[in-house]
Amino acid sequence: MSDPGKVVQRIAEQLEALGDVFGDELWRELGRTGPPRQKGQPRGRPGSPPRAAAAAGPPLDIYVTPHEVVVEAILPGLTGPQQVSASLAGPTELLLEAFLPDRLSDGLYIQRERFTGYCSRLVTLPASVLPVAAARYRDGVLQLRFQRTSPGAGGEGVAVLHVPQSGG
Amino acid sequence: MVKVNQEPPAERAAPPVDLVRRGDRLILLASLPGVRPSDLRVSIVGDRQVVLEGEVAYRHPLPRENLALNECTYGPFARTVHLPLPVDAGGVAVALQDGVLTVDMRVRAEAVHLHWQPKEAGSGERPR
Repeated sequence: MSDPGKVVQRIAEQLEALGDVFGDELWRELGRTGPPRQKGQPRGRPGSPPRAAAAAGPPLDIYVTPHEVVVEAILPGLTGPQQVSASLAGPTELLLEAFLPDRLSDGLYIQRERFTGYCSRLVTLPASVLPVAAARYRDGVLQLRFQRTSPGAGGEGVAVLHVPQSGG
Repeated sequence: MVKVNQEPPAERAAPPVDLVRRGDRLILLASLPGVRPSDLRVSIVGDRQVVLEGEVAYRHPLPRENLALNECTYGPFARTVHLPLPVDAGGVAVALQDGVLTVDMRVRAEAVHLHWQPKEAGSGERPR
């Protein structure tokens, strides 16, 4: 049974992450339709104002197959997975970090809604995984495929994942 | 009538957009992660509007309700962006790479040369 306090905290973190990446338009949209929610969890409160973009991270999709845990992160504007840092703090605690570059730093910005800069995301995976992931980056979406450990197997400390240098 | 710049149709999401002036170019950047070029339509309406329409296709092998976590949005999107300056519809370059759309447009406006007299030394002193 999930701790209600942790559930609320996780929902708040997810909303912050969504708002930081997609900007005001997303929040306007959420105000009409409500926020996305984790399966089996209660709905959060829609329409919260976005915080100043700082260390909150990208939206994620996660699913589990018999042998893998697959994590997809929305990170538009990178050139490949080599620009992402992924760490495991235990077998189910994944930390993603990335820097979304400013594409036209020499231009005069008339309107600015896209998120740029450092972002990170700490998420609890639905199953224990090994500290190695196959990474792929396509159309602004990073995909990490983790091999699952056997049920009950655990790990200790923080492991930096091997991410192939060539990708995309 | 389509509202400009901010309000999308109620049932569609709207991607975030940057507008950047660089020399005689006006460049629109839009975050469109997960959008394939074949699912995107970019239109220049008149000389002051850019319309983005398309769809984020669902890409996972599992049904959406079976995802352990689902924060990414899927489905149609639309955005109409009102440009602050007229552009030449014939000088537009469109590229979609790494989830970022770039619409590079040539501004149709003539630069005005500004003339001014340099300040004389001591002219900034306040009168007593």
